[in-house]
Amino acid sequence: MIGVQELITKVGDRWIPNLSSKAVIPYSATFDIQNPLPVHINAVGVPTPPYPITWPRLNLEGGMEAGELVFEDATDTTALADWNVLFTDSNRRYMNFPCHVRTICGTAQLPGIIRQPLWGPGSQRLETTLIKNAGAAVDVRMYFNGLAYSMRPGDQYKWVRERRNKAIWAANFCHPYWLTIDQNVELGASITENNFDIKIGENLELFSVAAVSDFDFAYEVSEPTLGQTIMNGKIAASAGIGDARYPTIFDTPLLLPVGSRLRITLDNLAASRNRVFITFQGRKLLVPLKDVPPSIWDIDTLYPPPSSWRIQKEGRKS
Amino acid sequence: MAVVIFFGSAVVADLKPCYNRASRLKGCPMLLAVEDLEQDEKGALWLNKALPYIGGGVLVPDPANQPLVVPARSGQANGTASIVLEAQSDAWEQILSLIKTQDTDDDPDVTARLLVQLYDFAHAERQLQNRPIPATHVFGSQLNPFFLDEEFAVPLLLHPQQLVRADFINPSSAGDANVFVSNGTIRAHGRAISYDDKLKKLLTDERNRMECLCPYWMVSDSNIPDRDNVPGIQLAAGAVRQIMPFFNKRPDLTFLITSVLATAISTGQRGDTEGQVAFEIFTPGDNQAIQNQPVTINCGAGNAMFPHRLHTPLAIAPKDQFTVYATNLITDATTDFFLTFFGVGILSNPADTGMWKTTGKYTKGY
Repeated sequence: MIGVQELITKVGDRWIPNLSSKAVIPYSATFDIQNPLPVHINAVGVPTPPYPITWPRLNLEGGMEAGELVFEDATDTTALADWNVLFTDSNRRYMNFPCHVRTICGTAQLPGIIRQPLWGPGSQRLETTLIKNAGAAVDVRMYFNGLAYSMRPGDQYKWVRERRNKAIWAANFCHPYWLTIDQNVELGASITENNFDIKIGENLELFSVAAVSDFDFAYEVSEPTLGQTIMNGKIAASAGIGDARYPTIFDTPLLLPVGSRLRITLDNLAASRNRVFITFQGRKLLVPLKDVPPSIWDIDTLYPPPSSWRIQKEGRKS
Repeated sequence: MAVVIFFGSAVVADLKPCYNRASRLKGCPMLLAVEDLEQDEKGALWLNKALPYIGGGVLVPDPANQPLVVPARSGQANGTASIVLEAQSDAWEQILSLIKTQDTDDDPDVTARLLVQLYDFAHAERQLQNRPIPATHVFGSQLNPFFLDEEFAVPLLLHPQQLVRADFINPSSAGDANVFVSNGTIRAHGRAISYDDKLKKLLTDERNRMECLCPYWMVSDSNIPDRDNVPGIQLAAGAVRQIMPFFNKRPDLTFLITSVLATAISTGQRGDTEGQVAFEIFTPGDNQAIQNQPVTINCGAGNAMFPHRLHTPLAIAPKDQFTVYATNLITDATTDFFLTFFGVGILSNPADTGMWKTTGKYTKGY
């Protein structure tokens, strides 16, 4: 995200706008279909063909950095939407298993933030598979919000070009990733101690967790291979986990090296069957840990935070 | 009955969910804030002497405990009422948030349609909006104020005794609006400035900055039919694509759009029903769409409590015009659609800016 202060330049006692802002514009990308939105998801059990999303190519040096996911469910209402999403492209898979839409997408007012922006060069296609979890067919909308570059090779917009080059460079080393339990989970009535192990096949760095369930549940996250746990006991979901609009953010990223396991222990706190969807959001590191460039670890360099964060690092302006 | 409040506060609430923790802990990047501790030449730490005279405050109209009553529209004449907010005589105030509450008995149609026009009296009655704006696009609530933070806007600095006037317009005939207004501010008393040279310099810098920058709202040049000067568009029933023109008339103001706010009121029923509208925004000049398909208001616009922030500001040059196409997705009722862009206005002589020299577009004539 680019803040407004970055587009204002002080010259003497005056402040002037920065023309290069014309080379990078806000953009919303959704399914490229000929018919007007919304798109249709078939009822549970009936597969829906994947919908492609093509990244915009506004100019020769184009591309898009997506930083937010928003959606709308016109049939079931957005608050009760019950379908899963899987993002893939020609050579990458952005999820280990389809994730519940309400654990990754928000609304325009409270969007689901993608902490590691999803970079795509112009004309790249992202395949989106939508799967209904229960009930009848629905009509939905979903958008990636972010910023798109619109430059020609001769343009002199130095900072815009540097930012775009950094996004391309970073995409060689990491891309956003959503990690979820690799099966549909339905807890039996009042049953405790369900353990779900997720085998980690690549280096992952997780930033936040979000969940959706039919009823309340308690959860614990641990890493049995290394003997680590990130909590000293089970936490009720109602007290310790949000959805995509208000995710629970880790104070420091959780690094899961290849070969480790993530164990999620779930207790059903309800007296009836309870479907639980938990999604961790983070990024996948595409090279061995020893080869990751140091600057990649500072995610602020890729996704500039609000100025309040900079103040935290650099001290207040006064 | 409706009341409006302007707020400034030392702690800015969340702008985006992922930023919760940092923004809560560190507060907003207010320029008037000072460090709690200061270090002397020997390295010893002391409590900043200016600290007792600087802090969060609330700026309210007088009397603050009575709502401003904005009468209902009568015939073609909209109801109007104004409030004036005045900074203290011995303090500088930096407005960081805008808050409004309304009487719970106010009709939803009144709340949705209430308009406001803000004037900043420090700068020759500087208008902060091109036209009256829906009040729900300017003022947040006490739980979710509309923040004028540095990332997406600029705070409003008031000199001692400087005035801000809010003209409220009630274009609804469903009843009066009863409005309470408050502003969250950072307040620096004059004594603090005499204690602290750094603060004095900060204030000077900030005063210079406010000569050039201001929070700014822009609405369409189209009007709701049969209403007097109500900016918006009435969308016909069914999927008919209609055009909303936006024109930055001012030759001295560049507008950086950071947020999109919208309200849709289906006129088929009472005004409390939120309509469903899809819209497309095209950039000025090259007419480039900033979306590949129309975006619905739930996915592309917010309100003052939860504004939809753009990932990078969209620059609108002086005298630029751009268009928005809006489509009513409700098939059996017309919809009144109000779309507001919010951001930062940069006031400058266009000839001074590298922007125009680079393009040559506006150099001629200035």
